[in-house]
Amino acid sequence: MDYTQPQFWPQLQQLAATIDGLDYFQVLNLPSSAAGNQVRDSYYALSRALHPDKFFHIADDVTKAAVHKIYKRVTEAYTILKDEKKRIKYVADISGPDRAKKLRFTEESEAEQKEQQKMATKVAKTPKGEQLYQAALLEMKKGQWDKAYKNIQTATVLESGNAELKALLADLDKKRKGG
Amino acid sequence: MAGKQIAMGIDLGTSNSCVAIVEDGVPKVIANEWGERTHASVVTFLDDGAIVVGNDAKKHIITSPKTAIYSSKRLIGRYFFSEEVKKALTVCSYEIVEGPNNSVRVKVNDKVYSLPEIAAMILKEMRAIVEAHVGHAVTQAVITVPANFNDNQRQETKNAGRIAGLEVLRILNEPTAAALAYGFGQNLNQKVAVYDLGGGTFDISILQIGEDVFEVLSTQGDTYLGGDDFDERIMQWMVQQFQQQTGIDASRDRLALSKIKEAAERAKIELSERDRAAIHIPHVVTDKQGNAYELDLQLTRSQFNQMVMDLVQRTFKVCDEALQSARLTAAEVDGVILVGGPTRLPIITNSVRHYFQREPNTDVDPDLVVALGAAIQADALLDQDTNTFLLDVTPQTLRLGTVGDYTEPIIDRNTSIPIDRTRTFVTAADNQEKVKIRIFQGESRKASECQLLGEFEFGGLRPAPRGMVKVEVTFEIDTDGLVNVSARDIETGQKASTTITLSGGMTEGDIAAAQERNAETEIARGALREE
Repeated sequence: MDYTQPQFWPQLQQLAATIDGLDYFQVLNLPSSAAGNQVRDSYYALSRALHPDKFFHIADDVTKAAVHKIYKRVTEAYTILKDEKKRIKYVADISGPDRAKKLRFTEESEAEQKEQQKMATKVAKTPKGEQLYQAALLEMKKGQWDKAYKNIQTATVLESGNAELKALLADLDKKRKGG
Repeated sequence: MAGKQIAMGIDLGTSNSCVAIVEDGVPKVIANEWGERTHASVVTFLDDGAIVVGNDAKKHIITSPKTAIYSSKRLIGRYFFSEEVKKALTVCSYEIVEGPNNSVRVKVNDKVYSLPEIAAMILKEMRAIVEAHVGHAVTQAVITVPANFNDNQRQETKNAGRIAGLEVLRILNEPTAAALAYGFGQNLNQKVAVYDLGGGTFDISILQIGEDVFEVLSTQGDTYLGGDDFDERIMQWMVQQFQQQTGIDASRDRLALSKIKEAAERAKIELSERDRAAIHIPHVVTDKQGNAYELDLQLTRSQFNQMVMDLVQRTFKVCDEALQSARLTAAEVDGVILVGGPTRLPIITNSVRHYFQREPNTDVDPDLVVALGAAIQADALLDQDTNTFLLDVTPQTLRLGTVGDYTEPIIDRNTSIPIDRTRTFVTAADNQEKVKIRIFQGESRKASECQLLGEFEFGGLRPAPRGMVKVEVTFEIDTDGLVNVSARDIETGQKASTTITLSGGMTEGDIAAAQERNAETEIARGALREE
């Protein structure tokens, strides 16, 4: 497909809109068995067609944005697939049950791991308290500050030594009074 | 072709600058009225208020050491507390002061200038040279930078272009520009190494050059190593010899140091051609009694080689790393291109030949090749039918500050650009209104050993309990090698407002004001020639 011809631009928009659903092999238009030199050849061919420099003189910002989005993903696909170790991990990732989440190469970051651990540690110490806390979270999401306040208030009665619940209660009190 | 748009390629060097354009399909370096093709990157403020730039400006380093600004590229985009600036404070004859947000400024005749403003005066001169040649206004340019320049340094260079009233089409890496000039239209299929030793920086880039695609496989550099350091070794030796002969410490005298610096540079250049250089300064210092002393020394090439051997070896350590990243051995490289004046030194040519086991290419002029490549790229960007593609890489790892003094990598160095990566952040407190992140560039896990690019604050998050708002932050490195950061709420898709709360760079307001000052500034041309 000659992306440089104006009649293909609508397709360019479509590709930009759907590229998040493609894996790197699809982005580079390659079978998953493609050899290293094919990966490079495809990267070069797509660079000739889609490198932002080729669209430098175009005034149409929408087309430019689409080209940028697609080309950045081409670069990303090349970066991962040319690296043997990363390619192996990637192929395993997209062959597994989490395929949809792993279309873009992910190396779980240390920060995210820590964040998840933090999320896993429960705020409330008792089963009933946790139940009230979870209910309050949902209500807070909906902006139902009064309901959330009442739930947390009950939880603080159950767990009188829980400082986090107390702090949350104070916050909610401000919220429900329009703070 | 009549009416064809022209864009220039500018090599804004530490010691010298050079400008080129493509004329009738041929890249050409443009000389000034006096036939000079390279111009000292010096800006001198004369007593009568006139400003001179280039080789004339350089002549004033000795007579007006406080108002001649040289090697300013070493300071651009640095923080005041950085090692490079600390060093400059001790060796520079002009005054360096601290600006807002730990930035660096130079002070001349009680006026304070940012580094991009100084660079903009050099760019203004380059532009004037081209405009005199073509006879009309030229406002678009590609400006080159050392490959290993970080985001702050690139941004400030781009700002310099804007202050000079230029539309900066691209910030281009110097070794990439050189490879383009070397391989353009040659139908090569080669792996080449570009060994670029400039006045203040060293870069090595390994490229795969094809007919129309130039892919950078890896780049590595040292922004603290250049020809200036070679001069400094000679200066130290001269000061030491002089002290032995006379008991006078010339290093305490700024005027004497300026003279010594000039003589050291001349001796270095002489040693490229000859086995020994005679160094003679008729009147280097005057003692308290009013007696004038002269300095008279002989420096042999082998003495000089010994003085700088460790510097030369440092460049090859950098080469080792670049080859390793490209997964190549020195012997697998098909061609070696030398860039930068200092590569004319026999010790460099010989060491490069020895390291790569091949004769370096001599078809390209090491002083002009970067500007030529920049002109080719400038022309290609304006050409609708362009068929030359530069696939460059990011030189330093982009990092995110985590807890304490730690960072974690987001985009590794030597990753092809343009590219982006996203990270998801979850609010840690109830009703958290903003997310603050710090980003760095460098190769250490420790934040204090990396360069801080900025602190970004994403505001206007919707109120919700902690953990309920997920913010997706996108880190992009664009074709200029510049870092862009943006954030959006995953659930609502709403873009968060972004504020950079910590950065040594110039604000839009600073740039606009500087632009005005630059436009009003007249650069004196030719006044000295007539004397």
